[in-house]
Amino acid sequence: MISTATQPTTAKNPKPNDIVESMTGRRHLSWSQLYSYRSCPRKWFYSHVEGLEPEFISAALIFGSAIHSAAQHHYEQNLTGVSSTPAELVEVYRQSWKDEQLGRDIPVRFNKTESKEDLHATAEKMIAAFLSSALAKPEGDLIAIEETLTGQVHPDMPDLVARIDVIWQTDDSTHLMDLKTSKSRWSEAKARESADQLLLYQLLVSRMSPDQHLQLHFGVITKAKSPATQLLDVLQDQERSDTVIELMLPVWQAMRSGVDYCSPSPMSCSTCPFHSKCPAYRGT
Amino acid sequence: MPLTLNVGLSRKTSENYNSKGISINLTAELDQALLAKPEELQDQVSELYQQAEEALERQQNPQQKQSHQQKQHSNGNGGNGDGMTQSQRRAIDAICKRLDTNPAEEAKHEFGLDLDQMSIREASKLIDHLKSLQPAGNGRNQRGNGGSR
Repeated sequence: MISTATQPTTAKNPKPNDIVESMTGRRHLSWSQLYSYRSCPRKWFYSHVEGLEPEFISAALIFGSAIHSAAQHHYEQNLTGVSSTPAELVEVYRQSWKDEQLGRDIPVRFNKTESKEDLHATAEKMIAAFLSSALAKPEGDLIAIEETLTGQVHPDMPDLVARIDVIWQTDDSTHLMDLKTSKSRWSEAKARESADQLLLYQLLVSRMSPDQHLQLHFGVITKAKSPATQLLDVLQDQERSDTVIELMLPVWQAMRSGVDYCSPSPMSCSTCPFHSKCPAYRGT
Repeated sequence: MPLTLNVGLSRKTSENYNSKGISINLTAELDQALLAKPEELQDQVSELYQQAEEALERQQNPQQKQSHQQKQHSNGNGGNGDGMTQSQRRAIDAICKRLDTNPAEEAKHEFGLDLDQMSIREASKLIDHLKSLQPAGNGRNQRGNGGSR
């Protein structure tokens, strides 16, 4: 069970939010920061503590962000009672792609087998698949789109900030969905493996409607010639949520202690945008 | 001999040309040894000011039952745990702009509620009501503000 005891603030015992602010300039941590640190502490330090500019931006990252922008536009229009067309969402996608590069002189890195035009063509198909799927039409009342929630999940950790893609309500439940773009369909095992993020977010969302049952979902759109969509349920499990927090505590302890070792691996180094800075890169 | 710390705060607000003032004074006895630890003393002073701020806030907004600490740990939808979300507020403003009507007046007229005090459920009902006022067409006038129910 998570302890809720708070500790008095003294100069010798600064609050976690103060500590993280002194390190990163922000008074909170995000799931992606915790995840990034776990995969390579040095990469997290380069990005969030030293604030280094990345040497490149992955096209996949811009692509995923642009697809998210299109979905966000659809849900926002839906909430005001207006249907959006595929052409409109494609335009939002293209504009988002442009905005990502606006004023930045950082090269975009594509996979060997893809180009910008290929990705745009794929995006059009994905948007069409999304619009005709259950993902685009949650059954109930939409209540939040790209909502930023911030709150404490453990007294010894900085506040967690969560950007929730979509939240809707039915008569007896509040539903939370995180949208993912993926090369292939997700298996149930993949959804279970990825559930930690939603299990942390549920702690913040449950405060919006404490009397309601919370249901967690992943919405997946595959990045394929014939895109598929999936709405996958994640088992809401308080015990597992507590475990996730217990697992994150040592991650935070390591961050605040300045542990910044390199964790080289072919998988993460090949996509790391801090190659030239990293002493470990030459060995991978 | 104890170290005595006095903290005083006051706040004045005006609404409809009427002003209202509230103030608070807190006195705390601290360990004199803190004088030799200026940083810790400053922390204690800050803590007392924070307590005073919270008390003033509660006095000013009695309907807000959550404590300051809970509000800090709440979500980003305005500090009130079940208050309407930012997305709902934006949607209400957007529809009202389209209808050329005032969101606060609609909330008061239809539900007898202040817009800023509406819960998520109440905001959903207001959105449904506002959408029913929109002319049909262009995918408008949908039942429920999501998909089908």
